[in-house]
Amino acid sequence: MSAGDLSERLYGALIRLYPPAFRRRYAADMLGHFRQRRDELRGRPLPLRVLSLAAEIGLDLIVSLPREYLAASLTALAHFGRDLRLAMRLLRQRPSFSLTVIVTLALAIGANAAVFSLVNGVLIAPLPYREPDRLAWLYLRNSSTFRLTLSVADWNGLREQHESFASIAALRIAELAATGAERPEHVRAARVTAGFFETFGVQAARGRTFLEGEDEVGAPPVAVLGHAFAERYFGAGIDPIGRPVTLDGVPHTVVGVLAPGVERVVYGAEAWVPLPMPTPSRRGPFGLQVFARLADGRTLEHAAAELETVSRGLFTQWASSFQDEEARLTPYPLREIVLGDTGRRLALVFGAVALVLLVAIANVANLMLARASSRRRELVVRAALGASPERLASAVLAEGLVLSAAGGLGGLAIAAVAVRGFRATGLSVPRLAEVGVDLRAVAFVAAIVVASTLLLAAAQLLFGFGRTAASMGVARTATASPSTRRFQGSLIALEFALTVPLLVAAGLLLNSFARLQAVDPGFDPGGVVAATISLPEQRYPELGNLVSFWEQLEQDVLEVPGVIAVGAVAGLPPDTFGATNNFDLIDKPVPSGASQPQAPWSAADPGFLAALGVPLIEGRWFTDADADGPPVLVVTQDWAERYYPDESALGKQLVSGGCYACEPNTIVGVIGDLKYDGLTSHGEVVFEPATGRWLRSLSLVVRTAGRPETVIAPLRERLRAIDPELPVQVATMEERLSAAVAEPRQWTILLGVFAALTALMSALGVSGVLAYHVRRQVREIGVRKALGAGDAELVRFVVGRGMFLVGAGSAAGLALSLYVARWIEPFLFQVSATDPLTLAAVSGLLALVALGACYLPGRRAAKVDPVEALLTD
Amino acid sequence: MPLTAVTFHTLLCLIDGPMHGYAIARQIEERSGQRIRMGPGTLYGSLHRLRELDYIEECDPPDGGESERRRYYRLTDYGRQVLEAEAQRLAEDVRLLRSKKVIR
Repeated sequence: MSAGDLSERLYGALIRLYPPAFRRRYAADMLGHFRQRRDELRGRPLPLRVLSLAAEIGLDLIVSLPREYLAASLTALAHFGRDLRLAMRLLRQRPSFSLTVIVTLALAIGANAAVFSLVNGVLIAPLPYREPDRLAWLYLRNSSTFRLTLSVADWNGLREQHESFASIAALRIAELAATGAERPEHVRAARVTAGFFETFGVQAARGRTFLEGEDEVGAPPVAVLGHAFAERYFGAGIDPIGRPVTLDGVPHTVVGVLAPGVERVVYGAEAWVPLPMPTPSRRGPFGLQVFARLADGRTLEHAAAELETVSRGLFTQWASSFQDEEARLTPYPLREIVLGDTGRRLALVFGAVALVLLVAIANVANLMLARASSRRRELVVRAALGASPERLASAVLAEGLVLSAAGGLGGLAIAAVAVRGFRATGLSVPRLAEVGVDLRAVAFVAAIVVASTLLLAAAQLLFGFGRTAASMGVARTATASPSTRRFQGSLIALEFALTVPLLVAAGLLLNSFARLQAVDPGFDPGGVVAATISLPEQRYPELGNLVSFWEQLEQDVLEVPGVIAVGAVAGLPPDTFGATNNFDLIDKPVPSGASQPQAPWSAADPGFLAALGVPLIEGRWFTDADADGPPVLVVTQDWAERYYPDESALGKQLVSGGCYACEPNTIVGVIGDLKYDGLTSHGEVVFEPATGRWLRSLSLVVRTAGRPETVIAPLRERLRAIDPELPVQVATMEERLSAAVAEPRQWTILLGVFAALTALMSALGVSGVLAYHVRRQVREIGVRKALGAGDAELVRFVVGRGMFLVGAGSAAGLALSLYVARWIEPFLFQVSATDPLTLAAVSGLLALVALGACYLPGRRAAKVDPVEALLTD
Repeated sequence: MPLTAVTFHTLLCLIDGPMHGYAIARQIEERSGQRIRMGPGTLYGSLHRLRELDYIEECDPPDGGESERRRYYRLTDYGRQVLEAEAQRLAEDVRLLRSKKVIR
């Protein structure tokens, strides 16, 4: 190879750097130019020649390359703008096609944007506290991995030693009666230590938060209020700072109001009052929520190690009242506790909407391919007239962009409505109030629009024109090329492959939900109303006041027409916890150092059992005499079977809450199971007679002969007659049961809607493609008919082709379902994630829908008139 | 609006009849006293834009042209008008310079 050849090749390679259109046009001339210049320089010595040629060409490249690329992109942009206008005009000419596509995309994008807004607001956005990742929630984790809240004893131990934490804070949940305003109300409140707000880095919008010492026993009562509650109580526009708010009968001076956005700090409270810590006499009772902010440079691991030491010290100090030596104060990231299961739930739903979007795009791609085949002639002509591949791509991209962008705009509107709907229906998601369609959601939709544009364009460019783009001969026949048809078939199969897992997930959730609803709550909810009442210490200071209040109320309510039984209980099934308590069975002591058994613990009066309709299994229920007699207990069947599987629990004795100095309790009765921790929980509960401190807050259970709603108004009246200042929360037990399954119901509906949407799209997809092929192949069908094919045969021919695709896709979908089963498993109750019945039912249902979808175009094929078909071109 | 030097010289070259790219570049190089030197990329980029502006157009090689196949360019009517307008402007400028005795 001569030096000349080499330099020419080199320059030829360099020319490839120019934009394609420019290169295609001028490469030969540029090479000629180069050759001539090289020849001109021939007279000079070789090194000089090479050097000057290289310098000239190098300079030329540096100057002209950027210029040509700029010019090429400006040209492309101008072309694209023209293509966009053309695409819009073309779409306006075919409104039904455009509308179908845009609505399909809008629904799918809207669902995605709505769920993204949820994920963004709930999971991605930081918690509204200063440096939220430095916050921890402290629990007492015992050896059986049970998470317990802390006690005053724990708090004191912590306060003395916490190098890993910059600050710690405690909170006790409280329902306070707010009186003195127009209407008394129960306000969700939190008693907190003075450093609570500082720990979270939350400041008052007006006034201040608590000062050191304001949480001491005997300090003058002060309160910090949420914005909404302050407006409700004092009226809008009134500055509450320095005014008194009466909580549980005690006037508190308002020292601060939080900003409107900060309605909740960790726990959804609207009022905060200081939490004085009494001197503990034993390790329990528990119930303190304790938070900590990590000190600079410390991690959760440091904190865990330090808490280990604290835990050991606490055990030694309180060994007499708490036997679990393995129990450890343990820090959890605040985020994990606040969000809980929601993350996994939302991830599942997000996955589901992503499938909806994929199916929608596949469907739209199919529609466009069908149309591309009718537009083929135009595009092929354009190609034949010299339109470059870039120009064709530009035209196809423009069409995709117009459709996707319209779908995206529609999707944003749908998402805004959907998010408002989420909030209106009270979707059970923490931080729901913070959710909205924001700029991030818009960016997310923009990304979807770009992706959808590219996918749609790619489908058309790769499969829309077959291998025959330049050949006019094939274009004339106007039927889709085999490669297009294969691709359309694959898209249909793909749609069904994606639909099946969604339907399976929805089916499993539905199945699980049905089982959840079929759970026996352990009582007869029909005709029962429950009213929760708390008596403030200020106006009911003595035990005697409490006893007479409840006696009076029960007596008065019993006189209401229609009421047949009245009782009172602490906490309410199925999901309002009274308390949890640890105990020691006298005849089955736990080995020293091991964890004591625990159970939901409640208290009830003699009327409760009949009022709620709980069956008595063995022994007796409480009587009036138990209030002053020797301590007795009643347990549920589950409890009895767990601790005394082979003998009767009657007469057994236990020590409650580690109080060995107290008289042991004797079990006198066994009743039917009641759930206190949700319908899926076990039925173990221990009841003691409602006396002493239990009387401060109880729920009145009222059984009526007729409709329970009719006694609500008279019930409120009787209560007002006794004490007009007492707030009360009333609901029927049917409502409580329904609310208990609200969360699984919402998730099931959400996923069900997505699954139905996807199934519908897939069915429309297969129907549309078959119908299109029938229309395109009218001639072929006509010939078959002329040759004697019967209607049934033609229907079979079309339906068979469709169902083959459906079957192939669904089979892949079933395999996919088994793979994703483990993500659904945690949300199922009494149903396996691979439940064969659900899988079979879902496949059967989908097959039926698909069959219907295929039958319609099949009928159309059968109706083809052979003569007409053969005459049309 | 004044033309760039390259545009002006390119149009000026083509006033005598069709030329191919390389010849244009050489002539401009000579006329500008080696000041304007155009490599292939710069040259064809510039010719392409002049063509898009409709100042010049491609044409067949003149009779008896070389056997080598390359693009020839000639002035369009519009290009000629543009050049004339530019010449007018330059002449005005020269007249002005003369009257101010900047040049003689």
